[in-house]
Amino acid sequence: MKSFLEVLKEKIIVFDGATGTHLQGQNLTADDFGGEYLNGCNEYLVISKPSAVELVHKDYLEAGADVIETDSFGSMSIVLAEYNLADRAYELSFKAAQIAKRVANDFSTPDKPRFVAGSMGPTTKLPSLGHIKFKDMAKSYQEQARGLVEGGADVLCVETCQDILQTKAALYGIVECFEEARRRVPIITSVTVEAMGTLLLGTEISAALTSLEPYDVDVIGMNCATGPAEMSEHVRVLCSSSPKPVFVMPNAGIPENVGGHAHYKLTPAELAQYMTHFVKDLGVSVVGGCCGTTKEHIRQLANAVGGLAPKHREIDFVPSASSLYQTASLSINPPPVLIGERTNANGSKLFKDLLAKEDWEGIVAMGRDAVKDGAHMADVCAAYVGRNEVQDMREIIYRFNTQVQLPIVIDSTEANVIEESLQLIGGKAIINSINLEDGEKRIDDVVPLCKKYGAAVIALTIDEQGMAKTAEKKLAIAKRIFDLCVNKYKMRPHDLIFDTLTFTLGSGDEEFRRAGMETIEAIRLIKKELPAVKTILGVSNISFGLSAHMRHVLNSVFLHYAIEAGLDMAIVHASKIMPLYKIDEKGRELARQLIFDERRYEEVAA
Amino acid sequence: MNNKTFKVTYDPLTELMAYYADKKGEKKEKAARAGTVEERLKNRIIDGDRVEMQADLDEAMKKYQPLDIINTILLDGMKVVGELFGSGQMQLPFVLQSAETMKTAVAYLEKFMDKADATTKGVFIIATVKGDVHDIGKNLVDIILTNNGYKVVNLGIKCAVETMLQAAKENNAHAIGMSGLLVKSTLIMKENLEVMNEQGITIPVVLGGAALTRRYVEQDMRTIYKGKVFYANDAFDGLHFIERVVTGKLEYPTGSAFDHDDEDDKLTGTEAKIAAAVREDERYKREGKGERESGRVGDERSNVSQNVAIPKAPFLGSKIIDEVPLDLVFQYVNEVALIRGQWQVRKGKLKEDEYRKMLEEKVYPDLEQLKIKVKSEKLLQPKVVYGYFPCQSAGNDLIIYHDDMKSERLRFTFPRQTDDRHLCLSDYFASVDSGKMDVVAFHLVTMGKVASEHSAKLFAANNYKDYLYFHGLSVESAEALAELWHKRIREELGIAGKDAKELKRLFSQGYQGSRYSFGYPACPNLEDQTKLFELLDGERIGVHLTEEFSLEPEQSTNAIIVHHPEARYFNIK
Repeated sequence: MKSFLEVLKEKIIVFDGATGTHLQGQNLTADDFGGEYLNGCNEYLVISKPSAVELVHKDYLEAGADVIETDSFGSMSIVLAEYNLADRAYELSFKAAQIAKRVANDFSTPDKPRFVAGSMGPTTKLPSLGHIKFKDMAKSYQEQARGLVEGGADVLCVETCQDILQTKAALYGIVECFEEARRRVPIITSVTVEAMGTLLLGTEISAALTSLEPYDVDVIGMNCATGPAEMSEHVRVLCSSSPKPVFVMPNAGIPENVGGHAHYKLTPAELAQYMTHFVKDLGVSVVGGCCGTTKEHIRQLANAVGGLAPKHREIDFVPSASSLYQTASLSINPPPVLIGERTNANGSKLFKDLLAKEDWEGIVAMGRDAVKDGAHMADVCAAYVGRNEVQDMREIIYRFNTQVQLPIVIDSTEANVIEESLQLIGGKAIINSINLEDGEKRIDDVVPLCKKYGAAVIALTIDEQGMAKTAEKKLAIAKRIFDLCVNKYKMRPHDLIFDTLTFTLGSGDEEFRRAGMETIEAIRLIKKELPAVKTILGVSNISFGLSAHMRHVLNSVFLHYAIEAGLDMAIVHASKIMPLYKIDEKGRELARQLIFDERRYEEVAA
Repeated sequence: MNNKTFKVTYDPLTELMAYYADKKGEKKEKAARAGTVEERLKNRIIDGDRVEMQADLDEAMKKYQPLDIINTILLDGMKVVGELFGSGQMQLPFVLQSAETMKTAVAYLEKFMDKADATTKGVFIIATVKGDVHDIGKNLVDIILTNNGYKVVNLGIKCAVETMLQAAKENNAHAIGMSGLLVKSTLIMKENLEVMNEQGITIPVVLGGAALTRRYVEQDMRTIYKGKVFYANDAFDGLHFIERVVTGKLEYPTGSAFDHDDEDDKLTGTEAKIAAAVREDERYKREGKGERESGRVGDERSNVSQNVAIPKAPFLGSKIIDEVPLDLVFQYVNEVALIRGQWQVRKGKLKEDEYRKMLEEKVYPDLEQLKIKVKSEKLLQPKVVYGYFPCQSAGNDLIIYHDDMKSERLRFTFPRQTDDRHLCLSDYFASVDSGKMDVVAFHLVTMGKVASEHSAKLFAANNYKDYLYFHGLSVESAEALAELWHKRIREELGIAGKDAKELKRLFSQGYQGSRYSFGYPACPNLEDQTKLFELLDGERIGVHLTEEFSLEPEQSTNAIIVHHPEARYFNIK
């Protein structure tokens, strides 16, 4: 029998229709639910009236669905606690999968294998708003996933996601479950785009994609909230930019309140028509129906697209970072991507003062100002002698996640600070940074976090001997780090950003005369030898020790040549640089000569 | 060890410190601005300097109408800002600073402006498309149109097409303008047009933004959208567009290359060729020839004649021409493309005789002076490498043979039209089956490294006007040399008998055969230039093919030259 992933490559996969709508249609009594206090707890029907659940599955399989979803939308402890059933999460999840698998097996043939998808809903809590802690949520999902997989689910479907941080917690839990069981099943993540055009918390579909794409998920898509017409714009975005197959499961239109009941207007023929358009023209691979869709909807849907092969999509995938709201590319034209550095305890006196006063709102205002300053991302560093870095970062990052539109660069050397921060960020963050100063330990500590939380990472060209001085040495370190991250830890090269670092030219020290040109050359070498990675540079170090105006000039000219060499991103405040044309020709030329060490000599006899 | 040591005689660090010893950046910036009031205001925009600007504006108003100050002086400054930004010499924050200064100036001038026309001339919806936050250009459109008596509904940034359509409906709008700076925004615009098609909406649309090209809009977007869609290069283009919408004069240009309105005047050499290809297609369809061809499928050959005379090549292989007299090259410069396209000296609202007078009194003298300077200082150094090669076609392939005319040297594969005439570049050559050996020519021309270096020098020295003039002339000279050498090749092949007598007509294919540059619709694959380089070895005349397959120096161009009498530009969808 073919696996789910094999079939996914060959044909359009058709999911089932609404579970809740079907159950409601069966006119179940409080007794069927196992008593008055459980009335409406669909997840408990797997115990109290399994035949009702079997009927749902049977109807959809008869209609031609390839996949049925388990009756487990809310079968995790967080939700079941509301019915005092928290301790039965594993049991209910296991049962739900077991029932579905049994019915699916009755219908499955080698020509048309049927699969069971373990349904994992969004729960009733939003971690981005502080309703629940990331780890607690992840644990609840881990338990549900274990029940579903052990009960026989072929696929896990994290669906109806409203807060990307919740989705990340679910994925964290699922990965823990897989690691424990030493096996994995395919994962689908599906977000819900509200009629207003974003997820409930304001996430744009492109930002959701950026956050979820780094994970080992097999299918990415959207379900619920609206009918297919309202979804079409977002489906287009997904189909044009998602490297993973696309899943779409609309409602039968936007529900209208008719006599106190949700009434769905979209007819089976209309649904089939829209979905045919999505499949044939846009390249959607997995379809199904959410709220309000019936057996007839699925029958017509399966007839229309069930036999089609997936369309080849041209994908325009751009490596990016994201905030809870927006996505931001790791390279822009014209370069560079600017990383705001003011929200940094080592860089800004104002920030340090606000931190000392624990003026969190003031710090948030600084983060917002970074947008006005033209920054594309915000570097956040709370390492301040005498203060508790973990606690401070928690306060700041939690606020930044929802109040600052920019992707966050977590600037810390401590693995625990980094992990606590990642648990508060809905977007795809960048970790700043790793290096080989103490051998491979730091990489061993931090890089697995990138994988687990879907983050990119900045790597400094420092090894056991210290900061590399020559371009060749910088390249060698970059290659060594690349090998560890990509081959050992399976990071994707496009999530690696190398910082080639520089020393100041301001000291006139013979040892550092070539620092600027070596840094620039290193950028060129890294872009050439490791073309998929990005490069970054803290620009103002080059001019440390010089007068303010000279710093301005030297920073700007240095940045210009670094960009010419292929620099993608720069950590710099707009006030520390100026456009080249504003520097007079002589100043520019002298700065260039300084960077490229064009001293002149005269031979003298010793 | 060596018994000699070295003493440093010049240290840039010491020099730099000495140079800036008495300069406190701040002080320098605050110094009073020099120059005429026009220069001062323009520089204020470029530098984003609003401090005490009012005095300069008041002074300017003694000489000019407020609207003229905006249209000429201030917008000139913004144009420079745009160029600096586009060439990577100015980062976004500074661009924003300039835009804000512009806004402050306009807000001040508006108080003195005549807003007598209470009735609006028309209603225009504008927005930055979904996923894009860049609105400088769009807001300029707002300013210009509002001050010209139009009602502008500015929907802001990240705007979904649904919102635009709703606003258009509510305001009974004449047209919609979509803007965006990002490359992905051009895709969003395309999707928006598709959505409008789905809903049966045909309101006129104008598209603008840095990542857009005229070619993309006129070639791709127009085939998609069922209503009319135009490209706007700047705010004034947008104004021109809406004027034509409300006066009912919005039509796509048709006819020959030199029989058109302002719209086509802006086409530079490259774009004019594309437009010619599109027009050729349209003409073919109008004449009903398209239908006769329907039914061709797959790689089936077009009906291009197979029994044409094959000219004799004067030699086989390639040849270098190290020096071409600049006077001869200049004769072939397309002055329309140079002056209106590159230099952007346009007729605008001037009357025909006023415009001619301006050209005669200002522009042509500038051009002549520039030519003299270029010649005396050898700022352009034209070189050519070209050659003839035995070849045959096989389906979509053009096979190039070694001089033995037997063994294959390399082959090109060209795309074929899927509709229309089913044309493919290879069809213009005798096929392998015919048993005849055909000939193809290639050429690569350049204005030399000095052209790029001098351009860069002018730009770096803030000489924007000199830069614009010289750069424009250098680019058009490369085109001219290509045209000139194409003529030489026709003469050598003995097919120049059909050349148009009037030089101008040569620019619109007034000759036998055709010249196709790589990257254009008929031979879109830029990578094919590596094959051209293998045949001609362009490095010998100092031209280098970059990793992205563009030519260095920029003032270079190359082409495959076809002698077939039916060969014309054509479009591939």
